[in-house]
Amino acid sequence: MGKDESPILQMKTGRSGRSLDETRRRLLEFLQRNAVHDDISSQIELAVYEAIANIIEHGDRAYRKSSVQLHIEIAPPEIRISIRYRGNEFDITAIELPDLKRHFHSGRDGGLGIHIIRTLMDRVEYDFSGNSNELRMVKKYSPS
Amino acid sequence: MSALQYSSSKKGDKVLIKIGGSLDLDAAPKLNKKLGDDIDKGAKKIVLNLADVDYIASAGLGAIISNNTKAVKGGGEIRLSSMPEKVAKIFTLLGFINLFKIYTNDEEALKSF
Repeated sequence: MGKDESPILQMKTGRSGRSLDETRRRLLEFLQRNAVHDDISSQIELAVYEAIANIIEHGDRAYRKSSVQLHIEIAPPEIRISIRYRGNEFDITAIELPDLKRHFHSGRDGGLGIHIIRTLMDRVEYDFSGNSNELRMVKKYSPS
Repeated sequence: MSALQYSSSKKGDKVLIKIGGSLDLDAAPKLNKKLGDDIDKGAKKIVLNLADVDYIASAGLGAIISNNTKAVKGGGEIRLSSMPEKVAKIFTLLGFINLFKIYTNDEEALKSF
């Protein structure tokens, strides 16, 4: 990596809990190696986890063997994350967020992943084209 | 990434449950079943000690929320204790810190019922 190049992590992950664990491990290692503060790392770790978990749990079964591509770039003043995968269109930016209090008292055990992603990330964007989904997330970041 | 740890013990009419590990996609169904089984066996006033939880995702959170509702319907509640700082920060950011009853340690949580 040259002096002015942004650190980048690119990887493919399978659609299983075990693959997701490995993704989490490599993502955290990458963020720690590049001295990203623990609080920011934790939030990115969780948002990426929830995004891929959502694909595993709710993604099109026809693509269950198709990998998910993760690209993360540390480019102050932000960290940019892209998650690309094949499957039906599902725009998480268009979903209405739950009323947390009502959700809590209803006892629903699902439906919080999108709330987590959109709360922890500063910007979330989605594109769909020809069975290809791309979720882009941005977290503001200033190295200390 | 670390496996779910789960142990429960009776404290008078209350139950102290200690959980640990990563409360993720794989652990959540196990946690959901274990908590549900304890409630089915009569646990109502439950203190859930989170001291050894190193990670919590929405799936793990959902298992706790749904079993809290189950406990409330039975006249009890799940109260949380010993939450690690990392988990507390995420709870705060997500807005869950004011929804659960959270205590510094087991003693305070047990006394609160």
